[in-house]
Amino acid sequence: MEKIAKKTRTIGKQKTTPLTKSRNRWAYVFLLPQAIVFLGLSLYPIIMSYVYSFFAWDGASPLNDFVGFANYVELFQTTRFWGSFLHTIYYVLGTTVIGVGASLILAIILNTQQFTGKAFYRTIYFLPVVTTTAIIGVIMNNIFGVNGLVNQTLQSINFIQQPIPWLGSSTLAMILLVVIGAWKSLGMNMIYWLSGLQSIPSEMYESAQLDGAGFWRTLVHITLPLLKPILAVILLLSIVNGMHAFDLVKTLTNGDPYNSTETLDLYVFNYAFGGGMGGGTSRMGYASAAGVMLGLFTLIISAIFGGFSFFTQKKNKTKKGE
Amino acid sequence: MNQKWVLVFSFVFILLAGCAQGAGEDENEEDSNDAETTLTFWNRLPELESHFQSFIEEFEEEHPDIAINMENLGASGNQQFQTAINNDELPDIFVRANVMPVRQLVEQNQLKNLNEIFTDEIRDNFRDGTWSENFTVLDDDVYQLPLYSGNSSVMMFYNKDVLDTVGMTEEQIPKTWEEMMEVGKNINEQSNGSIYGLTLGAEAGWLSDMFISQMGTSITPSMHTSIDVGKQINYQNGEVDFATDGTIETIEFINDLQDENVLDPQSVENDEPTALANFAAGRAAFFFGGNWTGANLVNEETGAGFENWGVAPMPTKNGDPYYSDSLTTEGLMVSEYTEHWEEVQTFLNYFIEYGYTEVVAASGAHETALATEVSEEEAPFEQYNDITNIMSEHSMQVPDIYKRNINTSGVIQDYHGSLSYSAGEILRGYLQGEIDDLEAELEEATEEGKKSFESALNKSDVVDRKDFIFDNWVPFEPYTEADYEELE
Repeated sequence: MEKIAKKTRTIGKQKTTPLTKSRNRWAYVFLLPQAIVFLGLSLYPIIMSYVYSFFAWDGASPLNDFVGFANYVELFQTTRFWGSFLHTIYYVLGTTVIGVGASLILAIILNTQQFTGKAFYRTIYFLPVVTTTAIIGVIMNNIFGVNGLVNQTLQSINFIQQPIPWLGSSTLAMILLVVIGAWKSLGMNMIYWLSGLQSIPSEMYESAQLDGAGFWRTLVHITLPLLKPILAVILLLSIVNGMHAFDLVKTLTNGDPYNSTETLDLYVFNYAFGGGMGGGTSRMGYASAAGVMLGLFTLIISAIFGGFSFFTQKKNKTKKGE
Repeated sequence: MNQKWVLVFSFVFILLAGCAQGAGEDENEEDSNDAETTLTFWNRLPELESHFQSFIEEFEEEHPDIAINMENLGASGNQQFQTAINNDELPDIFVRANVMPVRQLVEQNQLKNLNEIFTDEIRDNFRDGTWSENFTVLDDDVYQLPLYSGNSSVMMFYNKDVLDTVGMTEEQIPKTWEEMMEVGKNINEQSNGSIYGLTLGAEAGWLSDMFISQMGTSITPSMHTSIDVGKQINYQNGEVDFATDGTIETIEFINDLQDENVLDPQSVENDEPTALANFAAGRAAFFFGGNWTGANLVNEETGAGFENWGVAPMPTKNGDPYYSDSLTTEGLMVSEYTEHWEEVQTFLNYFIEYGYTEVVAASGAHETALATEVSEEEAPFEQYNDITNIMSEHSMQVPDIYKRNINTSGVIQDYHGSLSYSAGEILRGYLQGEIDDLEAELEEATEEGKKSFESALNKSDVVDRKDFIFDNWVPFEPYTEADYEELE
């Protein structure tokens, strides 16, 4: 045992040669700019948002009105805050279920050998990903407005007499938001699925075919189980992105009607720069408290999900006796 | 290895040298403009953009040693102001920063005292009520060059083309809600549903706030109409109240208009410019807009370039009178940190001499703070004097809490910031079917408002609820200096 330890130490010593040292130094040199950017533009604002959340602060006055947990207490007692939390959950669930499911179907279709024009369709489905979300929101707002393209078309073919309030009804507006949000992320999720699909060895499909397995059986017993690791990544990204829905909501519904589509990010923005619905002065301290809560919710949901994935995988490994 | 480090240092050196070169260029640029002082100017009033621009060009021609660099602030104006205040970097001149009251800006050493410019003699040339506490003055010190008079009012604009189409005359313009309903129904029926009686820009909740409170004063006169000071506070008992009869009945009336196809269904989704464009295009006969609406309507660059319209007072429940608060809020401020105070004074003096005619009156959006008469020939558009007449008739001085106790400013800031309801947003929610019980929603808003107001009052040692109670105020009668003295 002692011999092994000695050997390991020797190997360790051998590793820190001048060349390794030099490489390490270079690694730090190249990491430095990113570290500075991270410390200055990510870590510092995060820490400061925690600090601001304990002050009654308008964003411009000196930071001297310490209020302890008052902002948090007010937040927890505000119906509108919990409403926006609920809308965020609707959005996350909707975009995750629709976006992840639809993108898997698309990826499977585009991964089949016989399918022609793959590159064209992949580009088409990826286009919304590279389009600015705010632009999509504005365009969709015009399309689904009371006098928008959809209503005009439906009225011109006498399908409806009165325009449908797509953005004026809380249910329809939330459905639209979810569907458009899912459509926007479809291309990205499709790429993740494709990378997962292409990493499955073709021999497995060949042996399944030889054993007489059809498309569905192969899908259920080979493709889907082997895609589980990538599913965990896609779900996590989708949930985290959904929790931070802002630009699409701001430009498509702006939280309307009557705050029924206001998400947590928009809630933070409204109080940080507009003083809420009352149109008063900015409440940066209160908005920071809401931002901190949003961060914590995201962390908790991600941790629960991450934990669930970890234990499921562990359980599967134990079952297999690995 | 050493060679590599030399390479890194060379790279860093080149980068720094690049920066140094940039700095040198700036210096050179400044040197080359030795004879010229550049003043920075932030404008956040879109209605004055083009007029400020031509005025500045004229000023620069007459003062070749001074250049004005004007920046028109967009939607992110508030953030820009917040950052500038935090860093003591406000521009030399700016239109009132809408992020904090004058008192706070002065306490933070952000504002230049303008007493040197506004001598007593000059101040006397301005309209009554221009020197409003916590907006243009603090005690007796001037901190803002007032642009507009305090008179401001929402009124009813009508499209003459539409009236012609449906065979209506201007004498038939509705004065009561009943007439409005009747006329609106008639218009919709005669046009086979293609034209509505009324269109609104209800997406702009603040605009709805204004007309709801204004119409509401004909039913509940003790509720003043200001959306800047003491929102929804009854100055006769010092209590917050959203659920007044005036507010409830006005919102119910607008909802009835919607049910009867008098109100354009697009109103709930439209912002002010879109609604105005629809009105100009003949989608509706009437539009409830502020006194600045006329300027926007006739503007060919930013508006519809539409001229065939008229203006009338708002219809009220029984044709009873209504009022709006008179309060001067907008004006030009100067940064305490300006390095060009002399040049700034030159510009402001030039503005006092010519700006009110060439910028404020020429825009047609508001009445000038300086008491200047605009003759019919000088009027920027035909209906300008009709608008100012309606404004003068309906705007009046109401009690000013800041004048009574300037410390109420902090309480109002806390109270306004905590409000999550507004009558305008509730109207919109009700029209969209998101609110089933209007009165219950307004009561909820009242409860929240009361709690916020109480909490803001408790935080202050120098403000009392009594500061918000004006026993001797008789609504519809201007509140005068004598009334303040009597109160003491």
